[in-house]
Amino acid sequence: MAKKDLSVTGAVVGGVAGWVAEVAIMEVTGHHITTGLLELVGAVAGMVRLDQRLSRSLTDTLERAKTGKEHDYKEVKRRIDELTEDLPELREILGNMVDAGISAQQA
Amino acid sequence: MLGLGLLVRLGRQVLAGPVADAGLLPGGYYRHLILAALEDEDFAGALHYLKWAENPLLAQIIVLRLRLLSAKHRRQVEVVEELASRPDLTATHRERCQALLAQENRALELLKEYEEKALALLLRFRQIGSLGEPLDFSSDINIP
Repeated sequence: MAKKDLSVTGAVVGGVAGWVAEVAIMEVTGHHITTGLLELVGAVAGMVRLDQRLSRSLTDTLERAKTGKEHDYKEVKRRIDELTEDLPELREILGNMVDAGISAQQA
Repeated sequence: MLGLGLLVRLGRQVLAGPVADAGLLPGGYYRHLILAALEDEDFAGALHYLKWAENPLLAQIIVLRLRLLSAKHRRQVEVVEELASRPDLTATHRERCQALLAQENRALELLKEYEEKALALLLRFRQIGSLGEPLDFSSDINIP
């Protein structure tokens, strides 16, 4: 396989040229091409990783259930149980996550 | 390039506006919008798209987030009320406390309103037996 030469100067020139083109098009047309493209790419990436984002949302929710001072998972579990009496699926998932945290704390 | 830019802009406006609001897009797109809104703590936005996502778990996450936020505001109300009852407080400070209490109570009302909407949608999902698409996130969960 042929050796590939990387040019930092080339990359900088390419980057600046792209930026100038974007600014020029924006000035003439008033449209942000890169913003639109990035938004579409972001939406597609977000849809592809929905499972991961949902799990992050659950972890984040668990984090918010802590009142600040404690790393006491039993207290967090009590609080979640209290607030999710009518939300059985979420209660079970968060309960399992907290149980895993308690096991990890005891280990 | 110009054509592409206009096309992207047009597509974005159409997707983000009338098409998305008509509920014509796939459920995954609405789940993406809800998660993005939740990341920004935009409960109104999350609730707006929830009816098309038909995902009970997302509805439950929204309800719990709202309850946690309400609990936080209730604690703040208690602190401000305690502060307002202090006898050495000046009239100006007392007025500020009352203004703060009014804001906190308004926030609590709004959160309650959002919670009721989310619970109503959750009930609807359960009635139509929508379990949402199964999502495998077991390997992604990080215990905080």
